[in-house]
Amino acid sequence: MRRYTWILVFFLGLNSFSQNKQVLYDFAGLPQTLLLNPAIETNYQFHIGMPLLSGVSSELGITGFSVSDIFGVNSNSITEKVAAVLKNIDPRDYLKINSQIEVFSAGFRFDEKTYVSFGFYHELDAVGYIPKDFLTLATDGNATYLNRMFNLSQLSYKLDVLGVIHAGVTRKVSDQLTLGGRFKIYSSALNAESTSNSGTFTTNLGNNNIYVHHLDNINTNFRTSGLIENNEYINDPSTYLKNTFLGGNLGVGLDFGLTYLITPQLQFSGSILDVGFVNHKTNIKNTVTKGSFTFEGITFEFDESNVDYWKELETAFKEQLPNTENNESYVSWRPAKLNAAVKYSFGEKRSKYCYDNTSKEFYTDAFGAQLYAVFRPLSEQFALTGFYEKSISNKLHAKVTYTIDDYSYYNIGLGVSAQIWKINFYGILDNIAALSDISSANNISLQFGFNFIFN
Amino acid sequence: MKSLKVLSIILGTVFFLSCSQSLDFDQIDGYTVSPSIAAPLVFFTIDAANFTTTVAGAPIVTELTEISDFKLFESGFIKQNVVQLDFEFEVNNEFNRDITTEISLLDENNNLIYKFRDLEINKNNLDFKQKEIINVVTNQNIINFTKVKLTLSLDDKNTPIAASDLSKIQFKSAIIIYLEADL
Repeated sequence: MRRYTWILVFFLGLNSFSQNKQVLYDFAGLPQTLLLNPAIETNYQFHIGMPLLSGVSSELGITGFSVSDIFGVNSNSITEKVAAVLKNIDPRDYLKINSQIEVFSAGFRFDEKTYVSFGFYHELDAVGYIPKDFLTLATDGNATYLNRMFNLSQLSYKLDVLGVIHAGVTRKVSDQLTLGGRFKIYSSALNAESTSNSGTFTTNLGNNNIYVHHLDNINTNFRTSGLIENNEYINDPSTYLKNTFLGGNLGVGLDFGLTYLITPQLQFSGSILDVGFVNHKTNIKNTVTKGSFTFEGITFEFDESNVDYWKELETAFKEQLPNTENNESYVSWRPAKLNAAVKYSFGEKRSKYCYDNTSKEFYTDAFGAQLYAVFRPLSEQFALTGFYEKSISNKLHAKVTYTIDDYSYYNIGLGVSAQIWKINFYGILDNIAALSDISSANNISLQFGFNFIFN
Repeated sequence: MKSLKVLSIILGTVFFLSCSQSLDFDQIDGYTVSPSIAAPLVFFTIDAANFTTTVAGAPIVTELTEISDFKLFESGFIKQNVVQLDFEFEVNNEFNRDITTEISLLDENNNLIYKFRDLEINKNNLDFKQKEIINVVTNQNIINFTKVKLTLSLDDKNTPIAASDLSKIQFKSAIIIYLEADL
């Protein structure tokens, strides 16, 4: 059971990273779209999210292979399947998971042109690149890879568990332009990261001896905060939960957004999210290894001096490639995200009831394109989405997306939003083409939530 | 209510259609890794000075011995999962003398764990190679070795090597450790 737990952790926990919510973006005026662009125009007087259920989202993504490549039932042994996966993956392949739960959210119209929204959510966010060289060394060893440089820079991961308190303002500046901003206070409960590592390990045929090992320019740093206290792992889940709300490791961040109506039917919108950082200074444990070491064996001197060769070797290794621990505070940048979209509305003109007892005209149909980018430790991730949005009635809206990203070229997403009395429900499922065989999918995500919306 | 019905139908259809191909997570029990780790061992270069003495009346030096700790199996992982050890030796003998090298593996108390076939190197042999493969299953005690003892001797023990002889003996050795480990 413990083994399966580790497998689960490996596949679900190792790699949380920011989630592309292309269906939710600018969809049906939902309150949660304000977290993706604080400048999206809303038409209600106020909203209250159903506690813990107003915004639930989860995403799992893997590039380079899928679960069925390893655990699918066929004539190959699992050892052969893992070897095949290892052969085919690229060091830029990664695993990621992102999960977000809104604990509380609400908003109110401050005046005719201004809407204020605020709340608190938990986020699990992680990404881990697959260290192909490291895994090859672990599974095959070095004997069959003489002269190959195993690169430690492939070792790169980041895991965050945090709570976010936020407040934002959406301001209609003119008939065409709406601007928005959101201020965030991050409270990190757990951070584990190792990025920007460098160094190589190589085994060559030697001159003085048969083989020689080279550990060249090693520089690795494994950082944790919130995980270890007084040299013991924190095992109490309630401690992590408590630290998500103004715990000891705090940070700040900002979201910016704009919406611009180029014509009454053509809209451009864009946002940049999570421009911020967390300053980790409580329960820190960092492990740093830095240096170079060459090992070509033990040299016998035959000089009757009773040299302790093994001890000399250990001493030289520790001196030339020291491994040190410290409790120094560090700054961890949040993964910034960028959204941009062009939307063309058309079709039947309808009226909807607005907060100020007026009605506003809207088109029943819209299509457009969205670009999403997230800035990661090794590289940026991009996704390009085309979408079609349909208002089936004033209370029922649907959106279909087609996305090209790292995971696939045929990611189709579907979202629906319905309002019954004051209760709004939305449900979004991404990559529905993969539902016929989830185990072969590289990416799957869903979002749903309940809100009370008052005009 | 109409909205709710439509919503239910859409979501119900999507989830109803979802499925997965047959997966067997128990396969993980059959996963094994079989790395082979190459590592250098002892090396040295000796010359005539090693076989001569400045002490008047001292006996001729025809034998050199050295012992060193070699704690390869300090790692519990290697100790538990090693299945085979390949030892490789290479000697370059420039002397015009036959030599023999005896190599033994000892435990912490200097008890003999394993003795390799003697390395018998003819005079002027510049490309001596010998390999010895040890199956750990049939030599389970091998994992208890912590020291290496090496003795190099001249076969002719009566004729000293001249101090002016510029010849050298170069010795190299390595190990390849074969592991088989479950998850």
